[in-house]
Amino acid sequence: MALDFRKIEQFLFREARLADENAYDDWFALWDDHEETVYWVPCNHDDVDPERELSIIYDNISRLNLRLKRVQTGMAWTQEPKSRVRRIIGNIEISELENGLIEVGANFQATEVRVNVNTPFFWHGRYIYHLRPEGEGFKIRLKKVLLLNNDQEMTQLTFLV
Amino acid sequence: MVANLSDRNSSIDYDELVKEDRIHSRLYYDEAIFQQELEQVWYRQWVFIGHDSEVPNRGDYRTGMIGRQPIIICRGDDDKVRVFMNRCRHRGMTLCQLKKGNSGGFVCPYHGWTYKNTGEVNKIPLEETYGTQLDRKSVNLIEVARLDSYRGFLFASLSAEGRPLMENLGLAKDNIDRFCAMSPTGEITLNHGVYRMKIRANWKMWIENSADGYHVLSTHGSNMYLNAMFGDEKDKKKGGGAGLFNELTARDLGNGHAELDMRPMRRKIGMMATGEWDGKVDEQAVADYKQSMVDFYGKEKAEQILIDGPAHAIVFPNLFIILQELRWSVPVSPDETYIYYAPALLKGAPNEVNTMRLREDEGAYGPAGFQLSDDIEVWQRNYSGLDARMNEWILMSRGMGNDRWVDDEGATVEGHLSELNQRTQWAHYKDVMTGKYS
Repeated sequence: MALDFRKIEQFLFREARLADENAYDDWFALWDDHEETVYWVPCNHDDVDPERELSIIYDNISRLNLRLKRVQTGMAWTQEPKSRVRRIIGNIEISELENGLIEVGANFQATEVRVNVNTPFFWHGRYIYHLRPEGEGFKIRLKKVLLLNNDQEMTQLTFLV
Repeated sequence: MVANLSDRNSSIDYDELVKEDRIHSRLYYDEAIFQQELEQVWYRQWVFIGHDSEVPNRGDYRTGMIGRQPIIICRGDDDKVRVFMNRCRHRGMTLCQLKKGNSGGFVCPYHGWTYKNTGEVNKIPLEETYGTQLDRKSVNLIEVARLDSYRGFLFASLSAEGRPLMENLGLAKDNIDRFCAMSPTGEITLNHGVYRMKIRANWKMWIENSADGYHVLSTHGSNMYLNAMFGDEKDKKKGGGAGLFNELTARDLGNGHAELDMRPMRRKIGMMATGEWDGKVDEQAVADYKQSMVDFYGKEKAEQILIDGPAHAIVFPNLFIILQELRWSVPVSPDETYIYYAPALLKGAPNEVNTMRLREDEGAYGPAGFQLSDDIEVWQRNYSGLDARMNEWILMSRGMGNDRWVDDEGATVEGHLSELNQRTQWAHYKDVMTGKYS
């Protein structure tokens, strides 16, 4: 199958914009309703074994749903008011996996502004996506976020990184 | 940040600042008080620094801090765990840059001095040119003045004087026991990753918040909602609903240690901890775990351990033993604290049980956790609120005059919504700062 770089890139940009803008339902709709789906932010290093080592986020689709429900209760105080976030995605590389999924690697730089804090927070790193083609678009089976600072002291991370 | 009031060397009257029912907010932001805290609390008391399971093999090391002083925890080639100042004896350079690793020794890149992992100086380049000016025996790595441990929990003191660790722990020892008792061999391992949090608040705000029942419904309102809307029957039973939650008690363990005791609620529910795992862990794994607990402790004790569940207590000044996690703090400045959150896995338990502990930890804690992010937010807003200084008194009176009793173990107990724990911690803090307790 020929990989359509532009189509994949536009998907990533749209996913980023929905996450930046807290469009929770539209963002959740991009995810694959599958038992292997995972939203994964490793802790301390990039190559975490999830059976024995801690992650910052290791959500299956069920917990991801709860995460989004929680932030909409109006009582998730770190996001009351909501942070303002914009991220840039670049250095996109794509390849096809044996199981028919598409692996996408990309670097990201996100800036988070909180109303009650004078200086912004920066979140930088790399995304690894596994995308399942569906119809004219894709569903996310894996989004792995390799934060540069995953072994440094950090602040709360409650926007959709 | 509003400018501080004190001269660094001014003497502080803690009796004026710490009253029985209120404290003065200067205790959080004053730079001179922070410096005095370093001397009286962090460099004198027993400070939690880690667990020996973090350095399981010879040559393993892990760096950390006691107050503002950098240390290396290292298991030497002789299998002994030591804690060194992270500083070369020559010119004082930081020796160890990595957070953890394994090494036969330490090398200082400045002039090439090396040290064995047991602390002795090893190679000193061009040593002969020192002539008679250098006594080797005097330039080994400096160890902390006192190091002691209980069930692998490592505590260090930078002061050679003071009461022994076990005397200081007092009743808090039982909380360490209960934490470890969840393992079918009585041992936990802390070598599975750690959340590192940078918090714009004073270290004492974290202590106040930890064994505190009053904040749960509001600070964690989003989780109460999730539990009510999406929790299954077991979650609801375990959570107890607001009603059963009222069975919790605040326990003054002495020496500044305090507990939010969940046992009254858990005993009333009567459900063993394994009941909470239904649907989350393979049935066979749960059965195996239960059997191994019975094999190790005997049926009656195993059931009691599983009903009572794990501990939930603060050990002054910087350790919080909570459910499946250990937490400890490092003060950076009056308005900044680093806190470390590490899940403890259970030696001898099935892999599925330990993996579940990780998943639970991830859901609740860490920078993206459903619970912790809100705790951190309220501490940070608490700290910035202190800039308003027309009336600086902080209320600590909740529960005063309520029923209190002394339980069988000698702890003073009140209902969980009392601020007994906070008053306990501040009273001990005052004794430490004035030298009454050392």
